[in-house]
Order: sequence, then C-alpha cells, then structure tokens
Amino acid sequence: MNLLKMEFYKLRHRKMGLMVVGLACVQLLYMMWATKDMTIAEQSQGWKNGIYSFSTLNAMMMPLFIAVIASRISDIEHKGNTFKSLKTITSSQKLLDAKILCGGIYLLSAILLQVLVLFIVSKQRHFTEILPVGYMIYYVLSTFIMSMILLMLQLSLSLIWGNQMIAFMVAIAGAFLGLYSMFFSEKIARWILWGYYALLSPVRMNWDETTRIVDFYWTKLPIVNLLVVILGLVSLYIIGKVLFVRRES
Amino acid sequence: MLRRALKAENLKLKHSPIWLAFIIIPLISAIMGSFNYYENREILTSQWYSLWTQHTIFYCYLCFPALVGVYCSTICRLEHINNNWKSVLAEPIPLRTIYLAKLLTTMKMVLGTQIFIGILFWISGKVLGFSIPLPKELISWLVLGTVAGGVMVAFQLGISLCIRSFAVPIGIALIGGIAGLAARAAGVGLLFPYSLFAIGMCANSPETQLECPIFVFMGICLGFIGCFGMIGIKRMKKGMA
Repeated sequence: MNLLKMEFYKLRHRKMGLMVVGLACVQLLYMMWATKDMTIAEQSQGWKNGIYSFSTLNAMMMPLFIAVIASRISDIEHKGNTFKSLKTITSSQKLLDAKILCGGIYLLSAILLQVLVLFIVSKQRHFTEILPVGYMIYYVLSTFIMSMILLMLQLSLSLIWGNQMIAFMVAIAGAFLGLYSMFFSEKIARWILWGYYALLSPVRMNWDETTRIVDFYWTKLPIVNLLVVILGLVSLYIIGKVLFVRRES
Repeated sequence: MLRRALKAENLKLKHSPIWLAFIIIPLISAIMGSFNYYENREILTSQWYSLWTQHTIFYCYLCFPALVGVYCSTICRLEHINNNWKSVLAEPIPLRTIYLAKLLTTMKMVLGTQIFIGILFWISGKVLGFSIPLPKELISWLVLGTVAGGVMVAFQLGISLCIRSFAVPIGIALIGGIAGLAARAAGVGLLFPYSLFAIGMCANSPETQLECPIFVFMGICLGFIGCFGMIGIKRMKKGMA
C-alpha cells in the first residue's frame, strides 16, 4: 500500500489525471458527433451502438494511451536512475506490482469515464433502448482486463528499455493491427492481441449492402476470447516479472 | 552554421532504433492494406486506386500522427535528458538554427517514410498482379503528403520542445489524429494541421482531384509551417533555460 502511495506521489504534478479526462473529452466529442443525426430506429439501439463504437475507439486509442501511462510510470525511474536504490528498500516484485496497480487505477478511471460519456450521450440523444446493466458490467470488466494485458506489455517494455521509442513503436503497430483486424474474419483476428477489444465486445454489427441499414445485435458473451485474454494476462505478468527482476539496474 | 547543426542532429540519431519505426509501420500498413484489398477485391474494383485507399486510410489519421510524434520526441530526447538544454543553449548557435536543424532532420525522416510507402505500394500492386500501370498521380500524392506532413512536424516539434516528456507529445499526436478525422468530416480539414496529410495523400478518394487548387494547398501548408516555426522558436527562447 505504501509503495502504491509512493507511485502516486511520484506522479504528482505530472498531469496524469488530466490525460485521462482529456481522453474522455475527446471520446465525448467524437460520440456526440457520431450520433448527431440519430433516427428513431437508431435511438432504439442506442446502447448497443454506443458499446460497439467504444470497442472500435478503444482498439484505436487505448494501445497508445496505455503506452503513455506506462511510459510516464516508468520514466521517472529511468531519469533518476533509481531502480537500484529502490531495490535496496523493497523487492523488485513489489515495486512492479505497485506500478501495475497504479497504472490499473488510471485505466479503470478511463473506462469508468467512458461509461459516464455513454450516459451523457444517452441523455443528449434520447436513447429509447433500456439500459443493459449486465452487458454494461461485462463491457467494463472485459475492457479493463484487455487494457491490463496491454499495460503489462507496455510496462515491461518501458521498464526494460530506457529509450521509450521501442515501447511506442509496439503501441503504434498494435493500434494499427487492432484496427485492421476488425476487417478480418474472427479466425484471423484471434491471432492479433490488440484485436481483442473488438473480439470481446458483446455487440456485433450487421450492415445491409442494398438498403445501407446498420443493425446492431447482442451476441453470446465471448467467454472463450475472455479466457484467452485472462490467460495472456497471467503469462505476460509472469514474463514481465521475470524480466524486471533480472534487470540489472 | 545550419549545415553543422544538421550534422550534429544526424550524429545524435546515430545508432538510434528509429529505423524500427521507419520500417515497421509502413510495412504493416502495406501488408494489412493489401490483405484487406485482396479479401474485398469484388467490391474494390479500381485496382491501384482502391489499393491506395486501403494502404493509407488508417495510416493517415492514426499512425502517421503518432509516427511524427515519435520522430519529434526522439529528436528532442537527448536535450531533455540530464538538463542538456543548458549546454545546447550555451553553444554559440542561434535558437532558430537549432530549431531549423531539428525540423529539417525530422522532415528527412518523413520524406524517407513517404518514399518507402511508395515503394511498398508498387511492390504490393505487382504482387496482386494489377494489369494497368502505376498511376502517375502517385508522385503528387507522396509529394503533397510530405509537404502536409511538414505541418504536423512543425506543430509536434513545438510540443516536443516545450514538454519534457517522450510520451505526452505522442499522446497529443494521437488525439490530434482522431480530431483530424473529425475535422475532415466536418468540412474544415484544410484549416486543421492533422487533417492536411490525409488531404494531400488523397487517402479517401484518390480518383478525384485535390479538394482545392495545388497552390492554395501548398500555401496553406507553408503558412502553417511558418506560423508553427515562429511559435516554436519563440517558446524555445522563453522556456528552455
């Protein structure tokens, strides 16, 4: 707990909260723009549309946002060369856990703000669909787990290499791959880690080419995909920990 | 003086893993775009033009701004660590020369990326077995893209010079790219620095003419570069020491 407090203490005046709020503001503006001419039929599918749009937005924005969070959490140690001195007062494992928890809190805040954005949009655009509480909880949970796996990956890269360029290259490539994977079949998309934001979404879209009408529908919860992500999260946590502990300074 | 400053910038980039960005991102764009084209070739019938949209549509709004963010953060990284700005400012070189050297070095990287994108586009078309020759417009898409990329470079460089963090300017670039998409959709793309690249590259509709006459487009881009350059140099003078 003390280590976690210290992580937040190190990040004070670094405007991390502002970044989280900034992301939510951009998402709010985008959603307001995307839903500006909603028909009655679209209003009756408002929540499905919202969750689907956020799954796409997350695939685009979250990899880089997470890379920024991971980089900010680790660059203070690189700048001050403080890894070794920190390791004299606490174990590497505990230090890494504190950093993961700290990043996780920022990510959870960002995801909860997404829900708030959806609520604002639902009020402004007069959604007639009843709020799907269960699906909403699933959305928050699955998005959080997916974001945590990316946080583990980015944090490992940011902690291992002082030059943050490598971590950001992976994030940009990931965002790109995740976005493209939405156009591929699920079989192929399953091989792309960043594509799981879309794969975990409980909403699918049906686009009629002749009438040009978009129809959203709930799908069976993709539990297998969720299990794959949880397994990946545990594996990455173990690999990240081993690499961080072995890091010399 | 400028030549020596440019040499110094090149020296700072020596052995930097920047080539990773230079190669990987355009390569992903080409492979995924070509694959997507192949999967949807029944709908996408305009061969080279359709392939161009698939190669560039996400690249222009999402990856290129972030890539420029990485280039600019990398070029300012050495000065930001260990308070090196102080020693740079102690050198008998005008601030505008330092800024210009950084701008030109980043532009060199952008130009290299554009050339690589062109080569990958040509290779992709050959692999997909297109029967018609490569469109002549490719050169103008790449040149206009490079000039419009200069606007993004000038803007991001100002941010990277002011903010002593590697990550934050890239985050701003990401938000800028998404905002660029919205600005283009809202019809004000020509007035927004992050939309100009996609307009120059004709990412949405390569078969049609540029949204405005070329000289107007060039004028807007050069005007933006000049403005951001002046603001950047002013900010350097104010806040670096």
